Amino acid sequence: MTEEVVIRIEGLRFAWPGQAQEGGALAVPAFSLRRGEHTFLQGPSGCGKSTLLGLIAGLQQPQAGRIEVLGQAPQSMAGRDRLRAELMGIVFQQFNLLPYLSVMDNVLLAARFSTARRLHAGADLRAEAARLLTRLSLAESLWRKSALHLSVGQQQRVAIARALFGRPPLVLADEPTSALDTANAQIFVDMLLEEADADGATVLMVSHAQELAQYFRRTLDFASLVQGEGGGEAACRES
Amino acid sequence: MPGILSLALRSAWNRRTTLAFIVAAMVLATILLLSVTQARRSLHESFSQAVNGTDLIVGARGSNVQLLLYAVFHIGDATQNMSWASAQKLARHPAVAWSIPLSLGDSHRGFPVLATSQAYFEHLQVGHGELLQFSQGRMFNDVYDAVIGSEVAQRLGYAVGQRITLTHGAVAMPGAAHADKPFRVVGVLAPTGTPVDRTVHITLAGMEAIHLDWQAGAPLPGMHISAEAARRFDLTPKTITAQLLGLKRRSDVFAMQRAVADEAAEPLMGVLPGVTLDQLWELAGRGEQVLMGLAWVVAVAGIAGMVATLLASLQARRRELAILRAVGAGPWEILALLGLEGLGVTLAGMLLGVLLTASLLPLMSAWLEVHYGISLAGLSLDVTSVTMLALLLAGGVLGSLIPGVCAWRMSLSEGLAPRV
Repeated sequence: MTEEVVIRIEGLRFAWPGQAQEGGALAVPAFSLRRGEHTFLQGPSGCGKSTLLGLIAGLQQPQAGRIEVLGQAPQSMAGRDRLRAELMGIVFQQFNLLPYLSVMDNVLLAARFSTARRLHAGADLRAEAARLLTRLSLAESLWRKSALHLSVGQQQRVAIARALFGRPPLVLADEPTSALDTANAQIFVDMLLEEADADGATVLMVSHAQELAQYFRRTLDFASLVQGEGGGEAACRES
Repeated sequence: MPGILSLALRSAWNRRTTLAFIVAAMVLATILLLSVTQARRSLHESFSQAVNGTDLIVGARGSNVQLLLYAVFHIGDATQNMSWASAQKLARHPAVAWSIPLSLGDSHRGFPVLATSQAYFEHLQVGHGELLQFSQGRMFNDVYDAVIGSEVAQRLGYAVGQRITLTHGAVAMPGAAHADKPFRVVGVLAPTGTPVDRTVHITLAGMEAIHLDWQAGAPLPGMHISAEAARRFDLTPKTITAQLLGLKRRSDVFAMQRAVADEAAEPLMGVLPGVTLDQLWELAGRGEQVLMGLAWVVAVAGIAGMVATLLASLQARRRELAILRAVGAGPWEILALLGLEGLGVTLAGMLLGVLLTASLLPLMSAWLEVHYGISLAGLSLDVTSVTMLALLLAGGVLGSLIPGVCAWRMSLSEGLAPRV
């Protein structure tokens, strides 16, 4: 039962340093994400969606409340870094790839900081990376190239391959389609969800693009999730 | 951690142009620091090797540093002469084991001519107490015999049998040649690394002979004495420049110094070569300190430049660091990434600097040898140099910790996406 819950948040409160006084703190009373329940978290930019993802990823420690990922909530920074490395794949808005690594090495980067991811990827890491890249329709001729030679759409697909490499149970995607046109955005979401299902990962994607909601099993309005300190719009930071 | 090292390398290679300039600054700092220390050390070494074994240098009363520099190193201004009679008297003193008369003033194609006695070859110690060795020929015997140092032979292409003419004064001037009385090279000395290598040695009688028909630095008009005729004159010198004394017991050196000072016939002094060299280094110390100071300023500027460049690059690398954080790199690994880059750049600069210094020192040595007759030893990493390299490395490590710590703090405060 518990293991079916990928994320559980209770009584979360967080404010960036110096932000609490302005009443811009983020508060999430309760949230949970079940395995396989790909969720689209929709809301305008600057409301703290990225902050929430950062908290789930363990980059920050909340001032109050609890965030569990697969039942674990390490208190130390090192513990949260390890949890992120082992259990989560992350896709950014853009610039997901290190320019000095090849496409292949960018995918393999996911295994560099986690033994668990390496073990899950199987004996031949390159073969596993190649399998993911092929399934994401990235031609073999691109694998040895620098990430700089790829189109934005291709770069985002490489980011999916990295996020899924080593079969992490959770994929966090932060506005991953905002740099793509509508057609590419649809292809991206299609592939992300399809591959996540194939590899047994659950996707939590935040975006302001409402039209993408239809692809997800569950859609949540960010405003209904959070309670701003001053209520409603105060939760949104100016961006 | 090995993962971070290879990432650091590839990331650095991606920014190699910028980093190459930091490396160049570190190379310059290393070269300056090393060559100043090495030059200083070998200068001190080569000077003390030249006076090794001599207990006292006797000359006319004046500046002891000037006497040492002129009599032994043939550098600087000529000193007053002392009389041959006083020199003879001191040579017979019961405490004296040996004495070497030195008479300077002439030159041959820029090389100083030193008139001395056979005692020079029997007692003068060079290097670590070795006597002079002949690589060719023998010591002088005849009035017009000459023995040349190894460098004179090499540079002028001379061998035994070569006829040479001497020039009055240290610099060749027209009409100041002793062309009428040529000398013949009878011996070539083995290299010693001391001023001996650059010296043309003749007998005191030879020096006397070429100046018979000269007075006050110019040929006497209407008077000419041929080389053969000169042999019939009394060729005992009237004066010499200085005298080196070796004592039977080293402990007598202060008593002997007093005996020299008490010489009634003329005002003389005896200087202790070691003590006088120390005085010389004290004089030169200020200059050495300025050079060392400058070298350190360059080193600090190099490190400051590195810190500034790495800090500036940090801003541009926020996305790179965010990606690494996302795939699980901890703040310490981010610190290591930046720190390793600084360390690598410092090490690369220092290594290149050491190699370049090792290959530049011989060139510097050759130049110094031509112009000042001083040769530098090759690069040797003695305690001072190693200490300095260690200090430079420590500076580089501390310097690269600054951007490292900044990146560490940044990765703690940064969320998922860099707030650009």
